[in-house]
Amino acid sequence: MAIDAQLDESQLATLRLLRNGQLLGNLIRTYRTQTQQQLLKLRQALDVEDTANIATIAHSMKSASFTLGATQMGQLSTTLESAAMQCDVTQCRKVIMALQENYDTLLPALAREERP
Amino acid sequence: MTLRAIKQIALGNILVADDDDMLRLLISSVLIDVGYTVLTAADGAEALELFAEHNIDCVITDVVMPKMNGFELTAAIRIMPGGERVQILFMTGSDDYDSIQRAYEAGANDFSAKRINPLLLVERVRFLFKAQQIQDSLRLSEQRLSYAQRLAQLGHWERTLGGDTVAVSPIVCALLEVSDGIDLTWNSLCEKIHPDDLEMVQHELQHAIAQHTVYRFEHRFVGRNNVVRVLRHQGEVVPTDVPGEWVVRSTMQDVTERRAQEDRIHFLAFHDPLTSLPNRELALRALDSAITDHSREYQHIAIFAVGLDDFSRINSSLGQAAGDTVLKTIGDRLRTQVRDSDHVLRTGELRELNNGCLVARTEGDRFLCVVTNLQLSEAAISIAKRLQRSISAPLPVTDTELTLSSTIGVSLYPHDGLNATELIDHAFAALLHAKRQKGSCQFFATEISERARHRLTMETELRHALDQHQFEMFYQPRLRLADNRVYGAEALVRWRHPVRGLVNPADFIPLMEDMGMITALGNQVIDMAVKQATQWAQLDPEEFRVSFNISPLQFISSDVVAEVDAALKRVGGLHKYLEVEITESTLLSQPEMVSATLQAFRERGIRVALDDFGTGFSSLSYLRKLPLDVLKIDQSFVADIGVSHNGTTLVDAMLFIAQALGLDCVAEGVELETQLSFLTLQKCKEVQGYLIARPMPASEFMKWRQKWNTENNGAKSA
Repeated sequence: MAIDAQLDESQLATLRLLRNGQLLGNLIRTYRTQTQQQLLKLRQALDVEDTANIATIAHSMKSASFTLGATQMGQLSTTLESAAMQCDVTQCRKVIMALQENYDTLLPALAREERP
Repeated sequence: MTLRAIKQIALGNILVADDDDMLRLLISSVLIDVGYTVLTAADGAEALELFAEHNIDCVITDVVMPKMNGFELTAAIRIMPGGERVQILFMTGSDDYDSIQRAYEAGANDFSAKRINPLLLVERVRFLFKAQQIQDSLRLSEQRLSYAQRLAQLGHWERTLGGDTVAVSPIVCALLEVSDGIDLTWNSLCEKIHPDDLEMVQHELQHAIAQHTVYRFEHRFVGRNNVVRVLRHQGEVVPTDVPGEWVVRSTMQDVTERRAQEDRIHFLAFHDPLTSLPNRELALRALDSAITDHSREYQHIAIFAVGLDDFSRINSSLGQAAGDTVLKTIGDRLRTQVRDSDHVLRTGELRELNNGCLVARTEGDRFLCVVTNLQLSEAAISIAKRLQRSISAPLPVTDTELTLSSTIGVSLYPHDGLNATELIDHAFAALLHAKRQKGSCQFFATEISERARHRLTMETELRHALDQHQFEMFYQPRLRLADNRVYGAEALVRWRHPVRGLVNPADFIPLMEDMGMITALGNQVIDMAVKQATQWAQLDPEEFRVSFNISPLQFISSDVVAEVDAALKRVGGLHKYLEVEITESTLLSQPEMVSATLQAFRERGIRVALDDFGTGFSSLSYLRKLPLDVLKIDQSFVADIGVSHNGTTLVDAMLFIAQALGLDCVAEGVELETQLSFLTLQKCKEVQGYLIARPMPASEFMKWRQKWNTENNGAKSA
């Protein structure tokens, strides 16, 4: 069983300051919704080996993840954007799978922070 | 601590363009919380629409976005109205060098890599707004400066020393009439300078460059249609940021109008407005310069003080306009004479000296001619004669032709003085001396200077005398022959000098006329005579008149009727106790005005007497036309009674004329019984003279009158 992924505490601490902690829950909900959609779009793009689209989606995931403190998600997105830009479909497949796994293990931490 | 607690002071409108929902939410929430108004767009195209519709101060944009990326969005905004001043912050995960470079090239003001730190973002935005304020302020300041420079026609140019290119502003291009947007070369700039000014300009600049200092100069520029303008340069030679490199920075301004005004002011300050000739001050300066430059000892400078003889008669008889015409014509003639003088070297180095000569009008009818470089001092004699001849040529004025004579005083440098003031004073002292014989020419001598000093002392004392009211009136009785009683007195002014005692009018009246102080004295005379007449009228309401003299100069230069009215009002007196005496020369001056004034006197009850009849330009037509009451026969005619047949006949004729015209006759200067007998026999109405009494102070007069009338009561009965 994989160990739950963690959120970067220092980034979270800053985000908790906003609106007395009320904003963080909204951010996480938005992140979850758009990440799930992005992971789905990544798999669809992988099926047709659309590396340009994969690179764009990875670029978007990268910024949001780092900002929320999901450092591993951000790093994997960076790797995926790089592989996609090199049209390395095999590597893309591996990284997309890793992203999904990492996201799944991140969900408990996101859920904890999402609660008011 | 919350972000609300550190709410920023700079509020404004921010547009956030990002396709990431969470990042838009985060960025907009943070900025709204600190007071900004935030609009959001999920792609570049939507952002561009929002920018066009709203007044946006700051744009925060991602790079990678659907429809239009951040670079394209930025480039599009920059060319939109208001787009040039908006602050644009790139916030993206594309943090490679190429992306950063492209962002700045597209027009970004700042660039930040994601991940976003909300606190830093707020500070960064605050900095951008501050930067925008500074830029706006700078832009406004530049606009104002540009506007002011346009208004003042103030341009600027810059040249790096050692280089030939001169960077110029649009106003400099306009001033020099060259196309805007091109850099001039130094040589092409110099070609724009008036050739006569080029050496001065180069000298000034070379000095500034050598000294690394400031400079200012003005030069002429000949523009299109040969229009000459004056350009003023003011600048400095300063180092640049490059070690060892210096640059000349200068402003350039069109000062043509200011220079013209300065020239006008200078002209007014140093010229006589009537004749446009130099005035005394300029003559002094020019002569001083001429003396300084005078290196050849065997040459002389001659100073001619020229006075027109009897000029005041022209003003008084033909009016001031005619007098002005005469002065202008004489000025032109003198200028022609000295300019064409054979004795003058045509060096003309001094601007004020025309070919080494100068003609100035110093005051009234006085001119000053300066002729330099005379080989022999004797040449001054022939020049003086030539000046007099030019003045005496017939001079047409209005409908008549005048012939004027002139008197000249001459001083010579270095013999008669070593500075301009001394030489000019000595020339005028010689003129004053020469005035004793009109039409003469007098060279300065030491004794003349002593007399001039005496006159100067007198002038000072007379001014003081007026201020201190040292003048007083003496009264000479007028005897009515019909009953041998005194019914009137002529008021005669005396100066009670604190040291010299009583001074005769002949010793100060001409001087005061010359000094232009006769009206001030005349007003004091009116005051004293009116006051005395009123006092006597209160003591003795019997008809008794005090007559007083009004000088021709006072008559034409002031409102004498108003003066008399005012004097009477001050003491509560009546007009009927007064009589004014005028001379024939007054009648010649502006006859219509004189007639109206005399009529005004008569309408008030003041009698009008014509004094010194027979000595001036006696004209019977004046006697017929003018409103007169009394004719006073001059004492010179009275003195001839019984001495010569013609003299006696003349007085007889005068008495006849007066009686025929219905005028009362008064004989002046009666000193002998034979004269009195004749005048009584010929029914002269009144007499005055030493035979009756000398002029006496007011304090003695009434006592004397009472005694006379008492003692001569018997005579009346007889």
